[in-house]
Amino acid sequence: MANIIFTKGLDTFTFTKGRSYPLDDPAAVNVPVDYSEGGQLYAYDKGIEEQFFNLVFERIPKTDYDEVETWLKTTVVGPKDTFTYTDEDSGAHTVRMLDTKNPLREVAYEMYSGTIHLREEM
Amino acid sequence: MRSYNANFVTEKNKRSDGPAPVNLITFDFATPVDLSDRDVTPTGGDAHTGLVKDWGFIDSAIAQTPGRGVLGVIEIPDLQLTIINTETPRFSDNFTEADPPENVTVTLYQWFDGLLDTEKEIIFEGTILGQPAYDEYTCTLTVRGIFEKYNIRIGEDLVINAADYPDADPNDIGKMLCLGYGTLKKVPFRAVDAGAITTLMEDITTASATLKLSDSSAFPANGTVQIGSEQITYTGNVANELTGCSRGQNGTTAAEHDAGADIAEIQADYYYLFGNAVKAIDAVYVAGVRQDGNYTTYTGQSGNECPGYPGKAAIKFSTLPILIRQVNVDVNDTIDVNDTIDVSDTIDVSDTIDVSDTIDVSDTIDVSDGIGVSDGIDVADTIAMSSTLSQNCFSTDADLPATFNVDSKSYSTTKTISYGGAYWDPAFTSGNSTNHYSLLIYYSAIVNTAPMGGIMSLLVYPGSEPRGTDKKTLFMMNASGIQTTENPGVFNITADDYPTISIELHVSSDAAWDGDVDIVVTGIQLILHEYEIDSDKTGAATKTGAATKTGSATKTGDATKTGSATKTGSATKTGSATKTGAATKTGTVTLVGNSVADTVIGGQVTADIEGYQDYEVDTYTGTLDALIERPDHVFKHLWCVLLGAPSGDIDAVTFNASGTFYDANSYIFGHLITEPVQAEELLMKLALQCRSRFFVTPYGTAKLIVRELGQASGHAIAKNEIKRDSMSVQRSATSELINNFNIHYNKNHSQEGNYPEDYQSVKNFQDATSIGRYGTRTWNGKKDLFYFDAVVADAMAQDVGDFLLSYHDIVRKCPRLGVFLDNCEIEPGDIIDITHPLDSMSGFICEVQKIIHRLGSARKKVVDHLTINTVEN
Repeated sequence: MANIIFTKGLDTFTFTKGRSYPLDDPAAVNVPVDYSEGGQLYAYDKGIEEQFFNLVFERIPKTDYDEVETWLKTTVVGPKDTFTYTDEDSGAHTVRMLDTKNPLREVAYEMYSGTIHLREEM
Repeated sequence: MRSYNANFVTEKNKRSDGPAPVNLITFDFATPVDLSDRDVTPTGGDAHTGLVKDWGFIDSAIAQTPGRGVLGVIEIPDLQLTIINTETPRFSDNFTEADPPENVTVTLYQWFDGLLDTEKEIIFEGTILGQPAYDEYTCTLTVRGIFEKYNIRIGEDLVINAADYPDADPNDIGKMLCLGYGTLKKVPFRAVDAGAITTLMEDITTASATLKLSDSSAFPANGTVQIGSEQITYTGNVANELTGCSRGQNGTTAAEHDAGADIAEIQADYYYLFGNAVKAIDAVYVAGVRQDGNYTTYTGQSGNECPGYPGKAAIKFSTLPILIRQVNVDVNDTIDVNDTIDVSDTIDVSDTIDVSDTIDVSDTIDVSDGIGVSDGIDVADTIAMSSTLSQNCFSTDADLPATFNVDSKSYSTTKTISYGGAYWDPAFTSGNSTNHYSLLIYYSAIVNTAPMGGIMSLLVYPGSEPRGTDKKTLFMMNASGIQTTENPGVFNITADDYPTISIELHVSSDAAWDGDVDIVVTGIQLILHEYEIDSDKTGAATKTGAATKTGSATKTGDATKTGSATKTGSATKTGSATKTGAATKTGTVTLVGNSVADTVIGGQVTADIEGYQDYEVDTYTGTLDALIERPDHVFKHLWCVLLGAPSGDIDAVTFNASGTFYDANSYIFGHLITEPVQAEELLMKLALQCRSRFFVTPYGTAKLIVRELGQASGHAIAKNEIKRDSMSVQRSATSELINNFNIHYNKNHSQEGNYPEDYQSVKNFQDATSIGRYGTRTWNGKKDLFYFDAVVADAMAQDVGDFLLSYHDIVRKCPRLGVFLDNCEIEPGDIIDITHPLDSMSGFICEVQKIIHRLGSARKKVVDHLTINTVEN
């Protein structure tokens, strides 16, 4: 398994460490429902399907933290721009970073932990 | 009820089996902008960017409903939108000075994912209402229904102003050239070129060569004017004075004129104008008086247009339109009356008044009587008494002599001597106990010594013990010797006493007794007398003489009266009064006025007309040159011509159905628009007068529906289609009931007000059952509720009034419920039936009054649904 890669145009970086388990990559649909007086279900498909990737990193080095900081602030500007997320199985996804501030925290000297939230529109 | 294309219907009717409703919206900027709540491109259509954050809702309703007010206005639907404004370029960048958002048409479509772009259906069309608000993140705006675009102020372009009509009568500046539908009587034509008119400032004589005017600025430098019936030429116009006047020109006669008299410019022609071309002009009036010639009429139709005034009806007078009235003389009476008449009154007054006195008298007077009575009356008593002397009895006592030796002080000894048997046997003649008896006790005694001092006495008591107080002192002795007091002692006794009788001799001395005396009673004789008093006395006692009283009685003190006296009854006067003398009158009667005919200059010009006519076959009426007067024809014409809306937006189905009704019931309008009016107000007012609803749907279609009760349902809604927990019923408020009102109609168009007196007919409508149930209900206290200025015929007024009364004189149920997109064809004005357990509604028929279409939201997890307000039909 390869490490996770973020790519946008010529900008790219690879995490030096794999993400931690359990993996949390839920899919979602936008189908609000309602009922009639007689119990009839009304379910309207109101939107596209969504795929979320919650990348949990534990004790990654400062170099990774700095890459994420630059990615967030400069490369994609938080959720503003899409980029390519390449997963551990080399699958490519066009995603947005849902975070608006760096989710990684320094848990030990130059060791960082946190969860990066990505959303793929399907 | 809306109709949709087949594939759309298939999708909307899906419930849980995969419908994917998508809203598509297009902003008609110079470069159209297509948006949705996601990036989507319908097959065969344009790409829509997913920038809509919040769709809000669409509300659409019809007016004139319980709860909304009888005189409500047409409600224009709204759509609220929130659009993401973060992209580059931003959505708000489309708002430019050259292409302001306020004029941009916005169209919202309902589409289902999978359909072709051509299969989407429009659900809202409008224009952006003013003041969209935006920042770097979102732009919020309100889109108003498309009717807002056509909701103009009708007639504003027909208001007379000095720039467009420099020769207009100043009194008509600011007024609107009238517009008319149907047959109308005495409608005003405005004086757009009728010469200058002003007033004299000073009186003038027949020779005055200068006229001082209130304002001469509108008059030419030289020319001719008319005052009353006199025409005057002048050569100068300076500082509000016409100079160089020549009086009595053009065959007229010079006359005196008063200050304030109208003065008019004489010109070749005078033009009076109407706002639209008409079908015909009949009678023409000046100041309400029909004119006979001296004018030319123009209908304004092609081939009959007045030069300079194309497309408008006009009347041209070749001479100054005036009205000559009779002489108007005032009488000024200053006569004084001097009255010296005397009045001699010989009237008798006959008073039959009763006085009822309830006064109380309180008398505190004291009487002092000093009168002496001297009685000199003699009494002559001739009554006879019969007395029978009884037998005297005598006896002696064996106990005698009885000796008492009184030799001590305070001596006291008693000796009882009883008589009976041989010593006492009196024989009385009567033995009648009612007789009277007298006992005489005699005694004899010897006293052997002389007294020494003190007192000694011998007492006798008759009878037995207990001894009474009836004692007799037989003798008493003191230092002077025996003092005999009684012998015999006489006692009255009763018959019961005499059979046996005893006496007691009691001898005593006092404490001063100083002697020693022996008293020896030697004998006692008792004699009993019996005598009878004869009670039978006869005769009479008579008194003679007179008693005389002397002296006087005097009274002192006051008497007071309290209470009141009342008088009842009446006084009558008979006889007569006479007046003598004479009244005299002084003073004079004077006449004022010029005794010439009253000439009215500048009177209102009116005419009987037939208004708008159809100008093409099948445009509005179906007949070329036909008079536009049926309500649906009027609405069509208004919509297309006065509002400038597309004829294609008229809903042929409802208009045709209404037309059939109007035709069958002879509904026609005769309506005159005399001042600018908002389109929605005019349309609502006309719809009310033909018991109809005119409204524009959210998707921009104009509908006209006749209001009726007891209609058949056009669409059923079952319980299984009603949104859970959305069903409720509200009863219309009794405060909005109307069961007693007046309709004023057949307007007098020469009066431009809107009051009862401006109408020539009135009908009252009331329902006794409703009044009995709810009391008299007017609208906000006004019984004069309806002013139908477009209704002329009695039958139409009656029919509309009957309907309004039956619609508004009861409280109605107003169900409110929610449905989903499978019922999205329902729209205001539809008749539907509801089946629901609440109120046991089974096929309950009601009219849809209002719909709020809530567009679904993935973000808010809300399903598309419609909230429907209805009213029992």
